[in-house]
Order: sequence, then C-alpha cells, then structure tokens
Amino acid sequence: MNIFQNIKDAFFQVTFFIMFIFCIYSVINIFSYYDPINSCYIRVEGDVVSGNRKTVYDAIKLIKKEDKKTYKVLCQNVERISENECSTAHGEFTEDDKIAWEQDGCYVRGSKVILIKPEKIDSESIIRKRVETIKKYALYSEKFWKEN
Amino acid sequence: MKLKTIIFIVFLLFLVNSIIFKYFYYYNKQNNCSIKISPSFEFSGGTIIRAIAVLKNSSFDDYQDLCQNVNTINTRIGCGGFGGGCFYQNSPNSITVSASGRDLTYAVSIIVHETCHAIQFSENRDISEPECYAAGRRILKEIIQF
Ligand SMILES: [Zn+2]
Repeated sequence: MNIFQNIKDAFFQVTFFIMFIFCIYSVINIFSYYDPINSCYIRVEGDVVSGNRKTVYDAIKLIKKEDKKTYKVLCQNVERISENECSTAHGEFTEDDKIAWEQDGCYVRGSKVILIKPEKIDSESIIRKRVETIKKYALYSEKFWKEN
Repeated sequence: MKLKTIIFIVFLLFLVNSIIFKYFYYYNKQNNCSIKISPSFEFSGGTIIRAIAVLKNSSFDDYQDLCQNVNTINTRIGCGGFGGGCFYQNSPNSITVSASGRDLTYAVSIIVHETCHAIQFSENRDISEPECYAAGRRILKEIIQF
C-alpha cells in the first residue's frame, strides 16, 4: 500500500459519502418538485420576501391528481418555475410594461422556464389560480419546442 | 484495482467537465461560439449560461451577434450597479452583467444591451444608449409570452 493508494481509497470513501448525502438531499429536496416514478423534476424558485413556494408545489400536485395529460406535458416541457414578475421593462417603464407586470405568469420563449407572479397568501383560490397559470404556460412551452 | 483507477479518473473528469460547462464556459461548436464566464460572488454563471441558451433558441440573430462580438462575460457588479450591465471600451470584447440567480429574463436583456454596445464599438460608432435600450426592450418583448 503506497500513499497514492491510501489517498485514492480515502477519496472513494469521501465520494461515496457525498453521493449518499446527495441522495438524501434529493429526497427531501426543498428546492425542487421531484416525482421519480414519472421522471418529473421541476426546480421551484420561490420569492422569499413576497412569494410562497409551497402553493407552487400544491398546484403541481393538484395538476398531477386532476389532469394527468397536462401533468405529463408539464414534466416534459418545464424545468423551472420561478416566482417572479414578467417584467418587460428595460430602462423606462411604459404602459405595456405595466400590463406585463400585472400578468399571473408567463413563459420564457427558448427555455423551459415559467415565471409566476409572487403571491404570499396560501389559500385554495390562490392554488387554483396557480394550477391554471402553470397549465397554460406548460402548454406554451410544449408548443414552442414542437415548432422549434 | 486498475478498473477502480479508471472509474476514479472518468468520474473526476466528468465532474470537472460538467462544472465548467454549467457555470464557467459557454461553448457551441456548431455555431462557433465560445464565451468565458468570469465568476464572482454573485454566483450567477449558471444563469448567464441559461440566458445565452435562451437567446440561441429564441433569437438566433442576437445570439450570433453575441458570439461574434463578445468572448468574455464578467458576472461582477460593474458601472451599471447591482442588476445592471456595463461595457468598457478598453476591453471591447468583454461585457459585464450583474444578475442574481433568479433573474433569467433580466440577464438576457442586459446581455443584448451590452452586446449592442460592443457592436457599436466594433463598427467605430459612438457608444449611445437609446439604441441599446431599445434592443434590450425588444428582446424582452420577444421572449416573454403571456
Ligand atoms: Zn448601455
């Protein structure tokens, strides 16, 4: 046993330990929606100040329960749901930008990202609204990737 | 033992490779596009790389402009402040883009804005703001769909 061998063995142990931690981390992942059976992985980025990540998860779960077909579209065409305003303002803030800002959400063309307006309140009606928003833009993403 | 060594090396190479291409370097052989992302405490390299991919998929002309005029994107806070961008005439192939983790669309618009300055410089024109603000606004209207 030379030193190199020892270092290598230690490295293997550390590596497997890290992988083990990573597995646990994945299971209780607080940053993502993960449904391994349907190979569905969606990163959910909450707005800590004015948003609520939980209602995004609840909305995804509801889609899974009620609308299997759209759920499949969602899993295949959306990688990230981000609580963020749909801002089209760059420099000045115009009337058009105000309309965009007030939308419940939007799809970012050329990506698999949906933006959803931050909302702190956790209620049935908010979750319902988020279900519709997520479904709508998941279909937009599907359409984009079919055409391009 | 020998197999273990091979697995070890392959794993290490894979890890290093994926980290580089996720955060520090954008490369697309087919379109002859290679852009270094110089890191900073903002840790926004991943966002920048995703923003470049959005450009490639949604506005190929802007993507080509970027690839042809810019070889380095600095992720630190420049003269544009936090969440802004910057173009320095003494390094005309670099742009500075400050974007926090969640601001994908914002990063796209700043990249297009600063690339616009890089083009102005390469064409020996004055660096002027209205044209580049218009470019930034245009790309946001193109990529945001509701
Ligand atoms: Zn400018």
